[in-house]
Amino acid sequence: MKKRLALVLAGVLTVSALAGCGGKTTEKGNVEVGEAKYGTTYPIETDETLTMWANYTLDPKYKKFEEQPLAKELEKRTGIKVEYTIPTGDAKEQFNLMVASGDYPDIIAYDWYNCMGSPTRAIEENIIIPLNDIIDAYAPNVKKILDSREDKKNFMSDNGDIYGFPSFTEHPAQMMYTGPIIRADYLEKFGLEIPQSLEEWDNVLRTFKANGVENPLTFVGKTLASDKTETFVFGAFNTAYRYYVNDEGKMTYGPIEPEFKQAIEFLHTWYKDGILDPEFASVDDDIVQKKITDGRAGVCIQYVSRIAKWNGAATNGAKFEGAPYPSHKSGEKAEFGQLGSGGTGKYGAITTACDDVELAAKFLDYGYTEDGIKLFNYGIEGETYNIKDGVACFTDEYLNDFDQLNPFTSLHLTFHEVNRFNQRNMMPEQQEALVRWETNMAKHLVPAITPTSEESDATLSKENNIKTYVEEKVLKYITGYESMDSYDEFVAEIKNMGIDEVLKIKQAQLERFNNR
Amino acid sequence: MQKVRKRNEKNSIGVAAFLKRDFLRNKYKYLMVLPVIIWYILFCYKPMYGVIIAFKDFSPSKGIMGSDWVGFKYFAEFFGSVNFVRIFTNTIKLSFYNLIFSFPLPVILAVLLNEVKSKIFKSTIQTISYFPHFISMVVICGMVTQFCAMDGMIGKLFALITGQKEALLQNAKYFRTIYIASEIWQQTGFNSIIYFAALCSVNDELYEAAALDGAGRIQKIIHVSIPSIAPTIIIMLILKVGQIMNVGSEKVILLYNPLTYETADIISSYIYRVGLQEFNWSLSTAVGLFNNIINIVCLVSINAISKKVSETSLW
Repeated sequence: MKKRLALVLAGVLTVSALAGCGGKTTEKGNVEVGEAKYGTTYPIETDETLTMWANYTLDPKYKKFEEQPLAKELEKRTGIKVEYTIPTGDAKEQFNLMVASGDYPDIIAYDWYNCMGSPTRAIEENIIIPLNDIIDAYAPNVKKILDSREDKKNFMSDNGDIYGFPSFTEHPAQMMYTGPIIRADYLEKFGLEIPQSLEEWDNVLRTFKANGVENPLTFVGKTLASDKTETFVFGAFNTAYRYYVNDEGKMTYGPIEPEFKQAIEFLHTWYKDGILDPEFASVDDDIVQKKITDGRAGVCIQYVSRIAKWNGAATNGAKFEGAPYPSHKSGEKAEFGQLGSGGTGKYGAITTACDDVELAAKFLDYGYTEDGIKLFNYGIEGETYNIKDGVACFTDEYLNDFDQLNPFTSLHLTFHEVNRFNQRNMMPEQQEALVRWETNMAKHLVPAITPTSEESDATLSKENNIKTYVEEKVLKYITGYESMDSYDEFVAEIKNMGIDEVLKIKQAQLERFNNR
Repeated sequence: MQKVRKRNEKNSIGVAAFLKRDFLRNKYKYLMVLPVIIWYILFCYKPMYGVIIAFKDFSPSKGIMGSDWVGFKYFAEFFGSVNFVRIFTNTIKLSFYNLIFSFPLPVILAVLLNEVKSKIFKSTIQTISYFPHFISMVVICGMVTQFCAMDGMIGKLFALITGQKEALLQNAKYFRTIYIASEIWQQTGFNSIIYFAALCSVNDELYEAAALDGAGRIQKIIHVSIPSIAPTIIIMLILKVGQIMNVGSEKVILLYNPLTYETADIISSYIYRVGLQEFNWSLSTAVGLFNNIINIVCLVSINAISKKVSETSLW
């Protein structure tokens, strides 16, 4: 029963103990870029083995990442042997323990924004090294792509440090992958149109309810403030359940805005009238999928890939289509929606423990060569894809079952081609969904800002306390466990917890970013 | 061991000489216990010095020794935090209720099953009741979630009794009940093993003597079975009280949601969030240390009370 605590403590303490023994002595930025030992062509001749901790998913068919076709092919082509460590379970937890242990592999592929606040801090804490000189000297392929990008500043910190080999996308639209999905067969049956404005949405969902759809709208409410649901409904009131940039270019936190209160009141009405799934706060992803496919629910907020999957598997005449995010007025695009921020995501960083920086850089740089990009995007030619008229096309076997493709490809630490994205979402319903989901989110998105260590120290625990508090209260207001009368006190309490200071610091980070 | 020591004290031989003799006499037993001792030193004692990071501003690059001292900064931060009172009382309440409701059950199960004569029936019941203990926590919690959903087994039963449908896991009022009930389901069978063992060692002559005196079944339980396993019960109780603050975060994290934080958020789930999710190692160590100090205080006091009242104690 108390094992977890003991484990956590013992874990933190044990590994910390190790840190105490083998303390690192490398000074920050003190990496010498020597003469290149290895040639510029792959495969490289070397007996050395690199170690890499990567927050990738291990396909259940394989015991080790090294056995997956991608890793095997990479070894064959680069000539570099790599031992991978893939976290199982909670990646952040395991990353955290690894960091505290001070025992680092040569390369870490991780979302560095999820590390003590920012990648800047990871450099200051002597975990990873800035790569500017190294990329100049040893990694011409990534340099070429980086220099050609208009959004180059997304991939470095305020002071110009490049902290990792990025994951590029060819087109910003590739960062959009979730949105409202509706049972189009219900719409047809009840003579309704695809809804656009919140009023139309309200009408559609109420008609569903009147015709016996048990829970017209369902989603995973436990994580309401996640990129799947944080903008749904809130967007119609011109706010979002997150930090965002408002129309005046100022950093804003949704829950303290007056519009947010209106959105909560609206959601509460939906909850009270049985429009919103009464169990939305405790359902998980599986239950949501079950409810929408067996017809108990009419609308959910899910990944675009699911549209094709569900339509393919439907036996009860169900038809799934994407529907636009509710907007304020009919015929208008919604202000907020899901959109990933450019420059975030996984970066392959080289750690202070790496003895052969050149080899590590060259290994990572392969992902950005022409052949490497093909491998990461499409897998192995002749097996998973063929070239037709100069364009890579997946073979039918893999096109119809994308899950099978996972062990062959990886969209991290490479250049994610729009051609792959399009083939992945080739079904007309998916294409349509991606068009319908378009919003004005791009201008509200918080870019890849990099907090300094002092800033992280000042804001991290405040932000987390606020998050926990707000999550609890918002759900209580929606479900009516707590009356809206106390809403003003709720906002006052968030201010009391230091939201103004957090926003001020974030504003400064945003301005620094804009001035890069 | 105790007998040996007593005899030894009588003869008043020095400790070193005693150890030497004992070692020679029992060298294979010492050999057997060696891996356990090494395990304890490596995993329980060696890491202990890491506790000092509770008083330091730990940074992985500086290491434990190199990090700067900050005194009681993190303790102050914890005591002053908005959540302190809530998570502290939640921990105590959850643990205390759990103790009250789930502690007596394994004893009752063991005593009752001890009365059953049919061997097949007995072992079937034992196997069935041990079984949930071996299912992984994630699966157990998944099952609990399904059962407590509106159209789940328990959800439907609840609707039948109260006449209203409710998502049970969303109501803070029911969290402790669900937690403790599932705890009972999971652990009662397994925890009864030790009492079974204790009951097996009760001398049959005692029962025969009681029967001769005209004791019935119930009286035999009250006057023979329970007094015979009383020391085991008390030792188990002391151990349990010594862990009063250690409610595992795993199950709580799998079952709670923001709507039930009010009763469900406890110290260990807080440590998990702060230490492993927010990279604040020093704060989470400080909280863990505080937790363990309370545990030790509880353990020592209940042991002292027990020593006085029942003459059974850990030391």
